[in-house]
Amino acid sequence: MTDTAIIHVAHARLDAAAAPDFRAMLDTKVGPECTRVLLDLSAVEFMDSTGLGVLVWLVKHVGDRGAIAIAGTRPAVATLFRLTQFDTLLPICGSEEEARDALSL
Amino acid sequence: MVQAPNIRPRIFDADDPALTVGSDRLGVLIVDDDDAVTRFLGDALAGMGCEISLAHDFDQAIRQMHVGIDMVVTDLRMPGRDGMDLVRALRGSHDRAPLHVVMITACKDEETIGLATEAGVDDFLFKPVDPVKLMLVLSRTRRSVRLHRMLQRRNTMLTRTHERMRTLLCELRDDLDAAAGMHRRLLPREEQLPGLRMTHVYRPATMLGGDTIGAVTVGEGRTLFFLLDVQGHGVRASLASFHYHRRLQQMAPADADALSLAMQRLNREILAEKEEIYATAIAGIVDVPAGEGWIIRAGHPEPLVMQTGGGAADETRRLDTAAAFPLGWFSQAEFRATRFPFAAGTRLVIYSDGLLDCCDAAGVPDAQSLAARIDTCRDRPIAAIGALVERLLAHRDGDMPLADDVSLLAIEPDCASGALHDRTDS
Repeated sequence: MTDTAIIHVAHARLDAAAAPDFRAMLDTKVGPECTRVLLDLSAVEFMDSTGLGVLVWLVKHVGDRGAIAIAGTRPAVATLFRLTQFDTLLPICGSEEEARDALSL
Repeated sequence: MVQAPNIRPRIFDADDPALTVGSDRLGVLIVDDDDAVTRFLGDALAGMGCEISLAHDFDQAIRQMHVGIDMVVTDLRMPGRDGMDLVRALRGSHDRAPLHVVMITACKDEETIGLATEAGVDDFLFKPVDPVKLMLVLSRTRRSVRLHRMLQRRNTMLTRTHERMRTLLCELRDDLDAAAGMHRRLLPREEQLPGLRMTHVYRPATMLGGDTIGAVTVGEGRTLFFLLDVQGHGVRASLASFHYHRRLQQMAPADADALSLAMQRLNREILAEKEEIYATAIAGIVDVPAGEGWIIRAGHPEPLVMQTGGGAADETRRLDTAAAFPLGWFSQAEFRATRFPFAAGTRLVIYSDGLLDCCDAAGVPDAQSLAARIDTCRDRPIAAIGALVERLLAHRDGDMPLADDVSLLAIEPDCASGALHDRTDS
């Protein structure tokens, strides 16, 4: 199913060092036909502004044609999402099941 | 079309004379008290492309030694100091030079050979000298000298490259220092802010940071203040934050509506750069005579407010403010200002999230913990807040570099200032 991408992010730290790799991975997995993206961040312990910048890029990249849901945010990541209002852009779900429901998968 | 000049500095200089390949010519010094031997060897080696010098004893040999000598062929037995002494003297003074030493002797006993080898002889020729063996010795010498010369050239190249790199690094560091100095000069100064007292902390994670703090008078009794945190750090973030700082200062909004418009404009300007860069920001205006202020929070941690001289119920808390997206995310984003009281005794503290990371509870940035720490400064002069944060940072990082830029600005009305009294009198 190329219209759906389910991505388990393996980086423990999504920072400036990891961002280029993370973005290249998203670019590969989220093609132009992709309309639903489930991003599992449960392995991500820390995210900085550069890592968050890649997620903002993903939101713009998918745009109005599709939907993104995020699952498994750790507390530090959740704080960053709250401060920047990123959590108002898309569903931040407690589990992968919830995220699947949010995307009607 | 004019080609951009190549400004990349040259580290490796291909024309450097030290790096040119030398000739294969060998300089040979023959040392023997027997004229017949020196003549025979001299003719043979000259015929094989060597440049010959001759000596008949130790002293002559030492005087003949100069830079061009690559190989010494010496007799063992000579009147006065013998060949063994000569080899020891040569190895003592020319140990680092690529010098190949050959000993000619009629004596093949193990002890002599052992002593000569220990003294530094590379090769032996036994009398009578066999021309084929002489050719083999010369061929070995050529290979050895060639290797030595190549190593010398490479060493010279490495040394010079290292020196050039060091010079470039010094220049780069000076440039970064100068840029960091310019950034630091943007920091607000209390003497330029009538009606306010302030303290700030500004600690970039690297030489150049993406954080910037500003405060400037924008009208009668009014001050614009802001703290921006550009994504990332280093030169790119620093250049961007310097520019955004200047833009906000140029726009100099003096009321809530103008502040919203200034943030909207800056948001669109950042988006127009197509640099995929963004900034979180807090910007506000305080009107000291009116005892009020407005604040806009764009993706930034909530400010803290404290009441000096207040009771237990007035402990330092987060100021409830409308939240907006960071600058540079979405062109349609709105930036609404929140009004807050800023009367005598009120202190406002804004800071970058780098500071929260220094107050984390089990890896979670904790604004509540920061508020509790800052609350200990409630009944002390405002400068105590800056000092407390500096101590917090010193305690935390030790020799470890900061993971993120850290900045903080605290302001309070200056009750003794004329601006406040004017309004009170009227």
